[in-house]
Amino acid sequence: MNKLKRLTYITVATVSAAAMGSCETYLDEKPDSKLFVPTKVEDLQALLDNFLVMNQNDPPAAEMSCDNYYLTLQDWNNLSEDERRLYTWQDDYIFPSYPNQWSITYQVPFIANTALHNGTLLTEEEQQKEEWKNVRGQALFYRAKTFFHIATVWAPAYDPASSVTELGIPLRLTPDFNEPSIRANVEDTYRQIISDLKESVRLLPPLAITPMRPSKLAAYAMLARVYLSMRMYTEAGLYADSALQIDHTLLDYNALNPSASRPFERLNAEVMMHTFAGNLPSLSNNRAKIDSTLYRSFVENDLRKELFFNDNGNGTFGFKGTYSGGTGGFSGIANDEVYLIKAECLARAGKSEDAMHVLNELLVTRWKEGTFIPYEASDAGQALELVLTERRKQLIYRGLRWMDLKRLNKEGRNIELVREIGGTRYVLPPNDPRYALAIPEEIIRLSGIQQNPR
Amino acid sequence: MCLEARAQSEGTDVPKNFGTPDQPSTAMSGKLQETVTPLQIGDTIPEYLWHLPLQVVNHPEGKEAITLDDYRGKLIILDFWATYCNTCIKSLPTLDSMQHRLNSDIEIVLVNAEPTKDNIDKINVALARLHTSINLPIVFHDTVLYRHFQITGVPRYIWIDKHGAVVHITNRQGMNWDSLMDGLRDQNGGDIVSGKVISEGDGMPISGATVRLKSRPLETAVLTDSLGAFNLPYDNLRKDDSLLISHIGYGNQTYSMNAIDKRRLLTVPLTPSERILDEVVVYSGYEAIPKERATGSYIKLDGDLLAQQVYTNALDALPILGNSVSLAKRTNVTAPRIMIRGLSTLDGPKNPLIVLDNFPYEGDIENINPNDIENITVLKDAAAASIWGSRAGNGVIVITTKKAQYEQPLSITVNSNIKIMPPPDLHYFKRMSTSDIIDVEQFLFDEKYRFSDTSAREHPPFSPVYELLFARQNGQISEAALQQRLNQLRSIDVRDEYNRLFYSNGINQQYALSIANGSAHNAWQLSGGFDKNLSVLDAGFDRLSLRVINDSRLTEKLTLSTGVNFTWSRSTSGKPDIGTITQSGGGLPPYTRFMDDDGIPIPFEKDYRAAFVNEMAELHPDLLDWNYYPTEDYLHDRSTTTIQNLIGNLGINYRIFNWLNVDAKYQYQRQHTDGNTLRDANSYYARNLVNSYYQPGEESFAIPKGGVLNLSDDEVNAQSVRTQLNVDQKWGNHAIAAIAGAEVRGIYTNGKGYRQYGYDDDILVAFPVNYNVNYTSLVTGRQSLIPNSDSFTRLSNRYVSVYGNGSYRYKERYVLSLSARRDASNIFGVTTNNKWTPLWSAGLAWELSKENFYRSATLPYLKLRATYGFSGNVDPSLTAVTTIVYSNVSPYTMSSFAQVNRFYNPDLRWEKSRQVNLGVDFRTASNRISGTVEYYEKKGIDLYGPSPLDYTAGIGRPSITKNVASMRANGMDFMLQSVNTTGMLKWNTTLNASLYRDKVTSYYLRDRNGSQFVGEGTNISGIAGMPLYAIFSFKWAGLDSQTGDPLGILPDGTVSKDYNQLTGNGVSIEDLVFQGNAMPRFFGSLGNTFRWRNLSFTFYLGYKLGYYFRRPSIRYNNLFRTLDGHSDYTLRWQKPGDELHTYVPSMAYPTSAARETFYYGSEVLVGRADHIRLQYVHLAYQFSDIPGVKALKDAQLYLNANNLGILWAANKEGLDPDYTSSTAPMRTDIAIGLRLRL
Repeated sequence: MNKLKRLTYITVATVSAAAMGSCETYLDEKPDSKLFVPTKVEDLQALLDNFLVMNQNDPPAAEMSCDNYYLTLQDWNNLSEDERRLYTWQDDYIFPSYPNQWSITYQVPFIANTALHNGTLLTEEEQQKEEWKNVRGQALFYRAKTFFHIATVWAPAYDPASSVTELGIPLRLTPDFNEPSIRANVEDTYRQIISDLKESVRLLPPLAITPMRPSKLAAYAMLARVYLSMRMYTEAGLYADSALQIDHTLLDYNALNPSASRPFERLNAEVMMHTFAGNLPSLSNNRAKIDSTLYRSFVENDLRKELFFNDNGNGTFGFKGTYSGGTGGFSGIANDEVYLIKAECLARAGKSEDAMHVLNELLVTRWKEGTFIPYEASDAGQALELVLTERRKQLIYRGLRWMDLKRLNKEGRNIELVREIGGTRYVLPPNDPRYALAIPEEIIRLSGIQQNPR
Repeated sequence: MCLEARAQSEGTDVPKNFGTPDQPSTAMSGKLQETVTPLQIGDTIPEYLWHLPLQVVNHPEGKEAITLDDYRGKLIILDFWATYCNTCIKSLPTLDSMQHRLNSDIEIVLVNAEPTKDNIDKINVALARLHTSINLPIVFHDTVLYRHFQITGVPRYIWIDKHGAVVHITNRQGMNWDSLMDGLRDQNGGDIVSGKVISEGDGMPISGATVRLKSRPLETAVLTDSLGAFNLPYDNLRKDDSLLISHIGYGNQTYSMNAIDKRRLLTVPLTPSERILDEVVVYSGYEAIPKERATGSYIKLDGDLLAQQVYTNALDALPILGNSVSLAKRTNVTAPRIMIRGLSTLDGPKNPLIVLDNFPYEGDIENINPNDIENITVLKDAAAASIWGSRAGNGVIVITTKKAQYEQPLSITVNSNIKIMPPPDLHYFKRMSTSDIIDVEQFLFDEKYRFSDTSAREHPPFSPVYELLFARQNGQISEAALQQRLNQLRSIDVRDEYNRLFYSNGINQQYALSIANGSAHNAWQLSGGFDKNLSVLDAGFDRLSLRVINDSRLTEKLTLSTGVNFTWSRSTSGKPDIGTITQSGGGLPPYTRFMDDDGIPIPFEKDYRAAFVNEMAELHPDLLDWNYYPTEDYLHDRSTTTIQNLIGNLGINYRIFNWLNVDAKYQYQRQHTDGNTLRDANSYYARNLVNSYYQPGEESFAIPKGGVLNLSDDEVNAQSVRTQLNVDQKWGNHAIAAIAGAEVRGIYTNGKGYRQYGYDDDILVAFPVNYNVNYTSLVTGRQSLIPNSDSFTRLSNRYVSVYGNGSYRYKERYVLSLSARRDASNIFGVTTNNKWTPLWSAGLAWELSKENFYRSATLPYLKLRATYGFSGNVDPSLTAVTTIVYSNVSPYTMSSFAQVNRFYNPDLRWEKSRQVNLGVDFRTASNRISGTVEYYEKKGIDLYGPSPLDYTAGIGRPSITKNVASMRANGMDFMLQSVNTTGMLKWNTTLNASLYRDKVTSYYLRDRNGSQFVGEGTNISGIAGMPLYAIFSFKWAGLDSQTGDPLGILPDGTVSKDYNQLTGNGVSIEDLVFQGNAMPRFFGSLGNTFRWRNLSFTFYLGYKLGYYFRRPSIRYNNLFRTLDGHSDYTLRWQKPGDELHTYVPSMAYPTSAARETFYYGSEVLVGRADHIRLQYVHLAYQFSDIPGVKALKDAQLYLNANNLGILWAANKEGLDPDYTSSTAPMRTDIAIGLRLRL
């Protein structure tokens, strides 16, 4: 019986030890050692450094919808149905179901929000670190920049007269996926973008260790772009100027090789913040043909004529790609854009001479050495026309033309877009509601948010 | 002596020249007296007679001459006979059987003396009249022997013992079992008892039964042979000794030696029928449960049945044999999944838990050698499975391996077989003809389809027809030349090319050896197996397995068991499969040729146009050959996976009292997997990568020339410790059997993978590359990094469990069982781990036939069972916290970047499956029909489901897993076994039939887009009230009579061609047609076994009924892209009026994805999938004895044919509904093998 007692005791002891006390720590082991609960600033920085999401998820729909290119009937036939519909500015079904540009683009705010949210959970000591301010600034920048791109595609142009009544975009500000999506109005959308950017300006260092990371410079430039789109030209000009104070480097296009298939390097000296939009088939070099009027507007000694375009050998021209270094359209921030914003704002402020000075500073680097004759403008109106023409030429395929069409038509410029496919003519009149593209139908169903008016 | 009279009375022919027995031929007698001294009983034969060559016929081994010396040591019986002697001939079968039974002790030699005038022809005619073969040597034209023994009449039997003494001379009457036994007793100087062991139920012989004297050690035991016969010699018998006959699964038999009439052949019927089935034991992995105590639902398949099929994977035989076990082939093409009683989960892991002996098996199932399997128990209901707790929701399969028994004589078994598998029938696929495809390509060319790709930077390839058309367009070839070339191509079918160059018969070889022995204190088994498989595409699989297990009774109360199991296997890649050679962005043109008529390999434009490759070669002479040669490339692109698996077991059992013992078990498992993929310097993969990263400016290669080597190294370590108390006590009418224990288990996975560039396998050198620099691609000019595949993983899963299981039996007829288990793990959500919610079950059984009032003679055995309980299911890949995972180093920041990997999900918990099971077990008199009928109901609660997500949230996926769903299933399982005939021809039948029906009862599904549910029924639909796998379709309204466009019906009832509306968001599930289940409602198998003498023949039919499948048809967008279209193309609408007799839409260009989605999802393409197939046939011949090989106890030659095809199918298109449109059904394979027991 003694033996029995002893054995029973041992068994009971093993059973209870396993079941209670010791198993608590035994079961604390992480199931996958690769998994980290983000608890350090470094972890959050690492999330934002994921360039595969943060730097290449901008939506290409803006560029796809605008008038820099056209497609032949055969190439259009080859596209998927949603792309065919997008190209012809249809009312609905212009995006496929998941994954689509909406789902891809919204990944950026989610990561930014994860960094922002987990930042609040950091220890006091971690939050005191300089790195945290930087990370927070980066996260705010990414969120604002992406919201801006989303608004450009899926919301109407900013108009102070109707910004409170018109629908903006869902402003997702936390990483909680259980939170329902609600469309903010246009006013709140832009207010959020601007306040995020302004806060990031205070937090970010003037320059980042790589243009893959946001910097104060990029935030200034981004503010200039946003204000420009809102037609708040004074602010746009001031922020453009602030950006140029930090860096005003321009590439000398004479140093580039026009016969190379890709003359521009990624992260070149002019690039302050690198992001790009993925390319869909309709924009690919072998399909998209450059609008012939636009191509012809580049004069003989303009180096861009050969650096930007390739001759298809049949009277049509393709776009080689610019600062993205790849086929995707560059949507980041480069100094050329900031020069053009500054020039435009000066012109709009009536300072035509200053405007021309800024414009010429840029253009001289785009012309064959010694051939550039500086532009002169007789008045502010002419100066503005010159700047806008050069803006269209320099910033081609940067996703900015759509934003410009929206804001310029608001000013009565009356730009009508026309596409012809197989004998059918498609027209997008100025200020048409379709300038705010249809939100993927799947999202309308899943979230219950309102579709854009047609 | 009354021999003579008797011989006459039996009608013995009167010998013509031999003289009648009464009147011996005087001439002959005189001659005898002249030459030899006649031998009398007691005389010893002269030595020269031993060596006298005797001419023989009918020798079992085919010898033409023998000497008596060949048989010295045995009791030799010379049977003098003649072909005219009917008595002689009639006795031959008896003699043959005596010889067969006592082969090791006696030798019967038939002798035809010269005076009989018999010759070989007469002998053969006489033997032929017997209709049975006689395996006795026949001496003919004997001129010597008959004289020595003074043979004057026939038959006459001369008995010569091992010393050469003539011990007996008899007539027919004196030649019987009794006298033979006597003779043997004398011969051996001892005694012998002989007999036959049979099963009492059906009279079938029982082989392998142990026969010994109770007082003697086990080593003296003999085993019965394949006919159940035994001969046990003995001497110095103790007065009170008895004969003990035993066999596992049967009751022992004892005979007092005094009572046995040793002069007769003893017939030993084993197992009074009532007890035999009761003693069947099922294994839960924690204990062996006698079926009489079981309340739950178990199926047990033993090794003999499993061995009827020849296979490499231990579970392959299960689906066709297991009641209510099915194989989900269509939903999982690559690795068909075993299902027990259908599904218990929607989105959680769906595989049953595999238990090898006592512990969950974490390794590759292919590590288990099927020859080592003693039996497989399937735990079907909650009462059976709930002992496995949170992992048992999908049922449990317990594999029990062979083990030696204590007191088992040495036994050696050998099994070897070879299986031939023909290549798949590639023409099973209904494809468009090559000629039609060429016509389509010409149409596309006219539409300028893909013309823009000529200037695409990726330089994508075009099909050969397109290249010809381009050449014609550019004026490089004439119209006549073009047409001539096209016509040549029209007759080619690339499938013939595949058959000719890649496919051949697959061959699997299997060898297994096992040695077992047991003494009173020790039992050990050693087994080894070697498999060598070569697939139809020359992919190899070699496996070597070794096992040693040992059980020792250290003391009266303490037993120790140890076991080591080691498996080594290696899989190697083979030739390319159909479907793997495709053009970048396209398919495989149907007129492709891989090798020309002279055997020269033809390059295939895989990624680039030939023009680009040639231009590059000219521009950069440094480049490597950039062509891809499919017939050779696989030789340079080889993958090898080597798995080494080691399992060590240690178990101690201490018996405290007879009714209480304690168990401690430990298992260590280590599986090491080595992956090696070498694309050598000549492989296309390596050459393509090296060339793509060529930097023309610097004339340098960013990726060094040479091979690309990928290595991976994964290790799984699992350790388990279990302590368990076992109680087994009976008192009066009460009996209790219970276990209680605790278990700790850790599974640790470590893995790494890496790549080397510029690798040379001969000198074992690789070159480093710079992963952090962007290089410009020579092809596209795009900047990109060198592909880096370095990776590391480390996983650790830990479980802690406590469990208890017990049954209480009253009066041997009422059983109450209870089981409970609680699991905790480092993977469950916090909330789950902190709650004490054990998974439990309870059951009742009532053996009605034991009641006094029960008096049915038709059903002497009747048992009712009922159980209720819960088991769980867990997905180890889910966690309850937000986690990030670090990826590679970013070349921009030179630091690692991270991704969010899992999302905060605190309520995550295991799925629960609640099951009710009602069962009846019955048997008719003498076991003619026995069976089980069961009804069950399952309810899945808290099931995982992808909860669709508003992806504005940005987590990069459209859904997230939550415990959102529930389901209900019910069904009936019938298992019937019948003995149809018991005579010479024995015919048994086994019927497995299952009815199954399931439905989703709730699902938190916000997604209401109907078109997402339209498909092939291979995805769980998750609609409340509908089956888990259901086929929904778009409503069909025919074809447009003017355009041939398919017409659908909008939700408002109007006929429409607006495919975006028909398939888009406006469509809800209510607007679709529900066409039926995609999983069989009624399925099972029917097996029949016939035995006639040594021959047995088994065939199994499998059937699946009451379900639907979607037929493949033409998809124009696929056709244009991949040049692979369905032959429905020929049936397409082409002109008004066609819509009256076809439903295949016209070919539309440009294609509309929505139009294709609509047609492919429409109701016209759905048909009944019901079918019956012949699964396998098994033919076996059991050799009663192999002459001359004394040691051999048993030998079986078997032939097995598997996958014999469909016997009946509801569909008329010749489709096999078990296979999707992209896989060809398996063809009949044939295996032949030999099983020996020594």
